[in-house]
Amino acid sequence: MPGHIPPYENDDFITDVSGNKDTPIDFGNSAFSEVFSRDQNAAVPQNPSQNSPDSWKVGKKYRRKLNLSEHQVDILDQLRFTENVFNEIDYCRIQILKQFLRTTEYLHKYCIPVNKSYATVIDELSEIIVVLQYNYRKESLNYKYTYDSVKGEIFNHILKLCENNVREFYGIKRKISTDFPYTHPDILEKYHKKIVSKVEVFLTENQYQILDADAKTNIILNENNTNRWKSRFDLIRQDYTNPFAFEREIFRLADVNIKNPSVETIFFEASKFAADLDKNCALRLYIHYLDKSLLMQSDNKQLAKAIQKSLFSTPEQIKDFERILNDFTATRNLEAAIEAVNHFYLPKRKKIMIDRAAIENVQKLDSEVSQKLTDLLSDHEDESISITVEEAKNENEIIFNIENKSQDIRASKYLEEFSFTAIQKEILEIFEKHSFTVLQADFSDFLKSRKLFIASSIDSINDVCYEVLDDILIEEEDEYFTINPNYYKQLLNHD
Amino acid sequence: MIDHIKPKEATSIINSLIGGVVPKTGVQHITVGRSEEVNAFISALEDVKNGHSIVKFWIGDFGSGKSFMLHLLNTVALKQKFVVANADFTPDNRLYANDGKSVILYSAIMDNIAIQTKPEGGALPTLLEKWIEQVITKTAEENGISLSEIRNEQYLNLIRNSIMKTVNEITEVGGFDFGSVIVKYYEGYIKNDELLRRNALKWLKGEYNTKTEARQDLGVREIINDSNYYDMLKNFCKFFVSMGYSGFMINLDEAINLYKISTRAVREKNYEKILSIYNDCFQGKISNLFINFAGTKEFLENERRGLFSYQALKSRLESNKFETLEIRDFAQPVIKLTPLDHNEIFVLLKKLKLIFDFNYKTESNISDHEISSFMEEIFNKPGASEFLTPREVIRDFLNILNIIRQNPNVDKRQLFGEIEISDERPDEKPFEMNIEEI
Repeated sequence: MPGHIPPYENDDFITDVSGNKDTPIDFGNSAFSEVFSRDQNAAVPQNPSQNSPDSWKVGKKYRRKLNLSEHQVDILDQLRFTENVFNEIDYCRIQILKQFLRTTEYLHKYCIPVNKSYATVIDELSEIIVVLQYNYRKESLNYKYTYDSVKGEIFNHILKLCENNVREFYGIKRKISTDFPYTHPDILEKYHKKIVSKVEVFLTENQYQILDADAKTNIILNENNTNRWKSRFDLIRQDYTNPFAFEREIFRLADVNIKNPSVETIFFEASKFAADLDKNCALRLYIHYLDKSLLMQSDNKQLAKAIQKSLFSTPEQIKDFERILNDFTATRNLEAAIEAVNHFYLPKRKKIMIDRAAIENVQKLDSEVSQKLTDLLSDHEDESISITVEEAKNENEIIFNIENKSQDIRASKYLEEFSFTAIQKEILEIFEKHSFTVLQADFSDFLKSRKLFIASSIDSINDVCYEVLDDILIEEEDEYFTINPNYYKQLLNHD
Repeated sequence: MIDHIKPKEATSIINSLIGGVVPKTGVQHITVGRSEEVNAFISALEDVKNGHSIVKFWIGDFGSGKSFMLHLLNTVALKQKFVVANADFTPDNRLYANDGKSVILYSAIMDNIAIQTKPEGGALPTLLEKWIEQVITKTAEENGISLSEIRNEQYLNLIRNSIMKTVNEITEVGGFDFGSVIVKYYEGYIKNDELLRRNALKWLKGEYNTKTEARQDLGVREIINDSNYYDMLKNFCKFFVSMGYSGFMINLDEAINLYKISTRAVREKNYEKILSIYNDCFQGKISNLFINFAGTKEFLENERRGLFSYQALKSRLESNKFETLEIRDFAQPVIKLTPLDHNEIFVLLKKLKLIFDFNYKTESNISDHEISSFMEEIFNKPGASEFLTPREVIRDFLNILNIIRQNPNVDKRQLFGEIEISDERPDEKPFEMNIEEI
């Protein structure tokens, strides 16, 4: 108010409890009269305490807001906040005051002074401090004044402890200094024993009573404390159950970090964390990181190689993702980028393109090689050395003393192309006589009687027939040697 | 499109492929998309027949057709009068060891020796007897004794000397014991001593664990062990060739098990053995030997644990630098089996439809368009890009043909939709990809 002289505002000895507006003294100055009459006609302010010289005091200020009792107002009026960005936030200040009131109530109720003449332990301690620090007589004016002042110091110290308690609850790592102004060892020892130790326990146990910061408060807190999100982020990580809930929490965290210059880091770290749990979620969060990063015009961080390996299994996937990022950077269409990422891991349907010309070429090559193999595997006369056992030239000296005539008959029984030896023919006839199934033991005895090897004898016959039959003639079946009758027929000369 | 297919082959192809295995016969009809590889091994077989020795590495990942190629190689080699042996590397066997693991591999090779008339393996006794018969015949001719006479015990020494002489002519290291054991085999036969014959076979297969035991049973001083088994394989190679066979082909599959050896020194010793085999073959120190290794790309190219970790092998096995995906060089020791492309699979399925129809004397109601729809459906199934192999595509296609054959009015699109892809790979560490920064 121009020309208005504040009435003794800084005089602690005069206290106006009337609640009336100040009446200035008229020194006959017309200008003053005008101003005064105009002031007199002004509307009555809505808040009667507004003009009270004590209205700045904490108790008065928060009387209605905190629904305080007179006693609480008196206590709070003794407080002086060391102003800082934290307690300047009204919501935080209220929480500090509430915690302070709970603490003082606790001290009054449960911390009984040793000397029963004192109402509270704070009164007792104030006395101790005045005596130890100043050595004033109890009845002196100095004593009274200093006693109230010390009491105020104690309350303000408790207030600082409460503020730190609230700071801690709100995840503010920085704390305010809680040095007690009186450094006398006895004072400190007694103060710690009677007040601080108890207050600390109480505050720890009652921290839950502090209300969670509302969104508006959180935004301010996060703006001023750029790493505050990390503790909340750790909790979100620990509570991970599914990608959708995780993303929802990350967005909530980002919302209250809207004014935090590090907001994009939240998405980046979330993307890194999600990489091992849900690839789609990780990519979506990376897109959001890029979005914020572009807004902030900060440098884009890249995911670590190990994370990239877990996100992308092929070089094509890396290229595809790069394409999404480039499109987004160009268009800034967040919705389209998120949509693209949502479909990123869906298998892309391959179109089978049949190339007629290529097929013809494949068929041609296949036909050639198939023919070549068929020729190789077909039953043509091989030029390699024959490995059949040769008979001695003088056949009639071997084993059987049979007339030439019967030999001729026997020779003519099988097709000439087989050129079986006498013993081979004999073996074949044994099979014929036994309906093409001969017990191995009997067969072995027969060959041993002629000092012939079983395996090589059978193999030599199989070898001779293989070219025509394209299969084995004599086969082993359990304890028997057998011949397929149809194969046998193919050996016979039907002329 | 299909020339000269026999009913027996058609049945074998359809039944085997439905069972998910390579058919025993008729495999030449389903080699679609492998023309170059087939030409490469046909030419290699020809070279080996002519006295050269070759080592080939068949490299491809799971489902690329390594086993199919080895099977085809077997089929052709057997027909070309090769002696063929197949063995898989396992954690319990390897090329180099000093705790008996190499002999285990050798025994597996000897157990699986196959010839055309004994394609399932176990042909060692047959081959031994055939060789002995040849020696008997030759000795009988040289000494003017009849074939039945010379088998009498009185000529045992004559045969023994012939066997020893012939073995000495064809073998180098360990020839004496090798010959002695063959003599014992013959003795066992002539004297009707089955145990002696079996012990001789046991020795040849590397199944004796101690020299004492071998000396007691057969009177020989040495046994086949980790350090001499490769010499014995070379002896057998010469032995088979002396009988008139084209050569000795050894196929060693699952080479990834060498890559998996955890001790670096042991792994390198094994690679050193591969190098010495490679050098023996390509430097002409041995004739008519054809060794095939089949393994994954990792086994070959991994610089830390694969063959490429061994510099001397890397320099020999690195791809021809002029080779591209389009321009291939199949004359190299390494043949990389690239996956069949869609056109090749289409041709293969079409061919299989014809074989199927021929086998069942039917006319399957499935058009070219429906074949490509089937392919599109199966290639777009979840997991297809990771696990789908031609084996599964073929098996599902033939199963669908079977359903259509028996239920002509069935909804084909619904059938295609019911296909599921499963991971049939052996449990192995996934291949790590290098990912660049975004």
